[in-house]
Amino acid sequence: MRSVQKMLRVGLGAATVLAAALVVVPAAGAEDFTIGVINSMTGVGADLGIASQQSVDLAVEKINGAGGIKGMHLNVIFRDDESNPQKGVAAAHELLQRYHVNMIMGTNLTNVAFAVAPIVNEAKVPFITMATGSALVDTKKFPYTFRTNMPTDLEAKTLIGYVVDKAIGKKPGLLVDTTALGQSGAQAIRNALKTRNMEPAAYEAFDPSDTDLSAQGVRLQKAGVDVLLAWSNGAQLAHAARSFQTIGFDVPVFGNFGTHQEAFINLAGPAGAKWAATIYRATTRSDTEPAPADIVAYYAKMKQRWGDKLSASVELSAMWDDMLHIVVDAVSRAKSQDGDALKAALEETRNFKGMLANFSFSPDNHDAFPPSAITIAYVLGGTDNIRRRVPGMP
Amino acid sequence: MVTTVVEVASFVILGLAIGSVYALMALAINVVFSARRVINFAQGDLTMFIGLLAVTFISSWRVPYGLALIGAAMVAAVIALAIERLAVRPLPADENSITWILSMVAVAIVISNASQLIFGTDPREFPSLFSGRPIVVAGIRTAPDQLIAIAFTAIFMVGFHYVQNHTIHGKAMKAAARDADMAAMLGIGVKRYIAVAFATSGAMAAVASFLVGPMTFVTPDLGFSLGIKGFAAAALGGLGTFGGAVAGGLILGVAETLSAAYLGSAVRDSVSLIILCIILVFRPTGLVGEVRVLKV
Repeated sequence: MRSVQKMLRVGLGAATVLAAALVVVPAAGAEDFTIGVINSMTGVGADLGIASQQSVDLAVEKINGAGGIKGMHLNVIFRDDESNPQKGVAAAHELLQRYHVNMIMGTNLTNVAFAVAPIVNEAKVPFITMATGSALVDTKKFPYTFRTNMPTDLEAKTLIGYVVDKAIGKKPGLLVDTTALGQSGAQAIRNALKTRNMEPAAYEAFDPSDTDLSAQGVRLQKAGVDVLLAWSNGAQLAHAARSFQTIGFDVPVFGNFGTHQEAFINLAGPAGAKWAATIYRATTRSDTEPAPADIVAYYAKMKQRWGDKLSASVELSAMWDDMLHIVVDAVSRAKSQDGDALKAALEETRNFKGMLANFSFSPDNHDAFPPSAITIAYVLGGTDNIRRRVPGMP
Repeated sequence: MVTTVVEVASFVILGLAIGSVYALMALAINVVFSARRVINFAQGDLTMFIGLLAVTFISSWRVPYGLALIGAAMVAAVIALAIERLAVRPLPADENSITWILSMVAVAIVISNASQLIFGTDPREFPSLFSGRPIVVAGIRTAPDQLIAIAFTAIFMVGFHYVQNHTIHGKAMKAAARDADMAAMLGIGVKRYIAVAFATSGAMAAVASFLVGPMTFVTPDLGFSLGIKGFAAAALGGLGTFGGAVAGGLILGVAETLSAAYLGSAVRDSVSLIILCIILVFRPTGLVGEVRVLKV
């Protein structure tokens, strides 16, 4: 009798756990369109992840408030990759196998995106990434990967074009981190210099855990570097700026989009005054122009929604807002929620007017960011998050 | 490319500044080790936690710098006392037992997780008393925070040495560490001095956080890195020794800075740990550690 009671108790317990699991796992229903978002909410890319989530939350509220996508409720499941590629892979598996998401968006960090892309493509689910590493978008290798953000090659070409054409320096040095982000940046800069028959006067790499970069600065200084190209994330570049100030290595520095991260803005201090980096043209102004009204209005809306918690990387929020609306447009045109139908609909996106640019995909081009939408601006010294373009940059 | 004396001197000063922090970490580990024969693997995480708390005191609550240091030291001492009471005292006193390793690692993880929950994971700027402009003397460029780290650690070490060797409480603490049974027979409150040792290590964590914070930023990763370096410095100098902690910390700091400068930052940690291994092969008790002779 006791053993029967015990079996009943075990059975009841198992049934309860199973029922709880069924309640917790909301499978994508016919009336839902489910997007999985993988982003860094902690670690070096945390500020980017927070900016992204703030944008998605606001946009999804608005989209669902207006009736969803052709009557479908837009459902978003967030996962934190902790700025760690392995955690990103685990999140991708979970979103695909447990939640059967219709699409995956995210990973602002290139090294995480490189780890996630093969898994999502293997599942034939569209993957819209924000990571800038150029090799991530390749219609043959990763046919389901799309990008609305600026690719590394375009950033490098823009920076080198400015440095050479404006005669900012004759001996460019290169400072990159040892991750996939830094290495893809180094390759892109080398390629861009090659088109101008130039090579880096010096190359220095650093580990992302390095907190003092005096040694790299001294070597760059001794090599006679008169302009520096830097490629990493905001916090690491802030360490570089501080170290260079201490050793007196004072040359113009041009960085990748990551330089505009909140971490650099908060940590570099006066040492970052001369640092400029690639950014969306729509979020900048020259010294004589007024601030762009539509971006100011969007930032005000975000400020109203998030108050003091609003991320300083709010320009990335604008990019996520554009990306989400491109997805909504494609889903509303797609013949079904099947991965191939969604991919085809995304590839038919032409001149989608976003806040930051007019975006177009095609079957042969999954990079939607137009070259005309990029510029170079100082990281510090802007007003209300509107960055100041460097002199002579359109 | 010519390496100049001025350049090497700049790196040595940087190494001494970082080494000063390692020395403080090592000394804190040694104080606890001497008193209770356990290695406080949570020392690094406690330093990181207190650093983040100090940033909150100074930047958010506008507490004056000196008061913030005193407040942070008091909080750190209380946390260290709690660690002693909850995670060390209940364990067997047998120094061959390994339960304390698990206990100390668990404490480190708890502190690390707590700091992420309370303060988040973003790197924080630790306010500096100085503008960040370098000081240039005879061509040697150095940040004021580096000089402060070296000077403050030197003063702290001298003060600590004096208290330990020339005051009744310092002598009692040493006696309790040397032979707890004999000290107890002489009327010394051994448990009390073990608690004092933990509280002292907590206060040292606060001092270390105020010195390392302005030189780097305070991030949750800082705890692990500082803890490992502090333990390495203590082992290099000789576990449980005052002079060993100082020597180990400074050697480690200078070695890793010079190796990063002239061999590349990729080999920085390898070089300092190779030095540690070589010294321990030839002197297993560390640079100034004594061989303990057990009479049977």
